[in-house]
Amino acid sequence: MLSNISENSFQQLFDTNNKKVFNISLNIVQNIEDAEDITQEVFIEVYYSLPGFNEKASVSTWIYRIAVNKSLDFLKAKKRKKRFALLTQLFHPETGLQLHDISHFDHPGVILENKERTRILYQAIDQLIETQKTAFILSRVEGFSQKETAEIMRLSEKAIEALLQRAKENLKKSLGDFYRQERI
Amino acid sequence: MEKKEWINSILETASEIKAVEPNPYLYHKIVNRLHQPEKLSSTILKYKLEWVIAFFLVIALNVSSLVVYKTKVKKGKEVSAIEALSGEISFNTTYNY
Repeated sequence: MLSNISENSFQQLFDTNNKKVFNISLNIVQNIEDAEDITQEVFIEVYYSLPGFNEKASVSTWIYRIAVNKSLDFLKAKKRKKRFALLTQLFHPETGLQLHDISHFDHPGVILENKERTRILYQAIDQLIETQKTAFILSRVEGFSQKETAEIMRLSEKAIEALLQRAKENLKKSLGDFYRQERI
Repeated sequence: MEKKEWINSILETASEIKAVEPNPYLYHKIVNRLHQPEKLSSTILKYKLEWVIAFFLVIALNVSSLVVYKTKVKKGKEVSAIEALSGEISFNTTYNY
């Protein structure tokens, strides 16, 4: 028997939000097992923090914000570990273009004919800075409106608009590099 | 395919990504974890250990500063005692030629 909140309420919260939480996490961390672990962490935090929840935003918005933050924290921890690993070739020997870490992320929600292009897209998304990455994923992949994205990220709608604009520009730049690489 | 066209085709796939169903046993895993007594994770333990070490370092610094201060005061007292004594004995040398 869960004591903080009733089991029914918690299950209801879980049933309403777990799919979105999982998919937000999946799109950020690009790994199914990690996304499942993060989803668990999110709802455990929700369970302990819900009695003190006192925000103007809806509970769902708050839960998605926790999902975003935990996913980004996970990525930061992963990058810290990578920094200590040996780095091999970073640049293409002939073109001098920066080589990208080949992403093996095969999103399960993508149809076969889009798999390769989506794999490249996720590689490019992975290179964005946190705020642009989050805004792009929430807005373009998860389908949140600009207003909802702004509430989750605790930014103004104008700020989200600017982030999306810059994300798109940077994605185009990265994809341009990929295009050159693919053609060599 | 032209570069611009290729880039746009990649960007368009973003809106075609479908949401995926998570593991159906996730809820049970979460409830099991909540029912278990709170175990200190290695991260929490690590941070607690760091705070304990920091606390003892601060204590050690304060104690050593106190010891150094007391030593200086003691030496200072000894020096002033020696000076007072030398004053009494008077080490002014007089030469009788």
